[in-house]
Amino acid sequence: MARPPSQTAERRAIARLLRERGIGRHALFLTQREGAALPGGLEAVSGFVLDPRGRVHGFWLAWDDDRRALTLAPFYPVEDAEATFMDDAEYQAARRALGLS
Amino acid sequence: MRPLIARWPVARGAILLAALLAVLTLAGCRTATIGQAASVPTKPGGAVEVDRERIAREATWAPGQLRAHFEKHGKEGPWASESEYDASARETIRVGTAFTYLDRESNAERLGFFQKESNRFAGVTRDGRRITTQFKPDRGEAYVRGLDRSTYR
Repeated sequence: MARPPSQTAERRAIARLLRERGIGRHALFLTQREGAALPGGLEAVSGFVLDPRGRVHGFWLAWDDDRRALTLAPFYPVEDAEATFMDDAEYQAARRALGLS
Repeated sequence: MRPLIARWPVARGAILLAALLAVLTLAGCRTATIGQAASVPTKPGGAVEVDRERIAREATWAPGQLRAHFEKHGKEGPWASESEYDASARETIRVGTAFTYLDRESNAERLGFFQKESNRFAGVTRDGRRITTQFKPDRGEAYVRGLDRSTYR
């Protein structure tokens, strides 16, 4: 079982960008560093976020050249997340972390 | 007559120290066994034993992830299509050196596969169900070796 995540700079950036999208408390799962260097010494990260309402979005921490700022792109909803991720241990851990199961 | 251990403080101390070391050693082994029970078996040298053919055949991308990864990493190949990129990821799983590492954002253990000759790195979940990425790291072998708790040697 995954341990509580440490607060990496990438996690802090993702949390800030999620707050801008109205998502406060959340749990990440199926995350992955993607090798691409971002300004500020960060690294691109892909993955999924679960919010307290049970909604799941896929995301990619990236750099927006036009806005010269970090962004989550793509950021997309996953329909029927419970069925989609039913067999994913990390999704189940995320649900437990948010008290959803 | 008093026992030897009572008469010789030095000998008694040595015996107590040996007993303490034995207890600590056993406790350490117990901890390692518990930790490894939930992890992928690791061989000497850091390599791991996994059913790579099953993973390459059955692992899936989570919704939207193949498209996103192809869009972000496709030009590194070059891979001309999502299906070529996907096939390459599965080949990396089949032929790459297998190791484990820790995903820093979720603190979840991952399986990694790295083929030095083509500089391809693929990641999958510990249970081998989900492919989490494939790309060509700029720093090659040094990148996969530098991943958190990487067992790549």
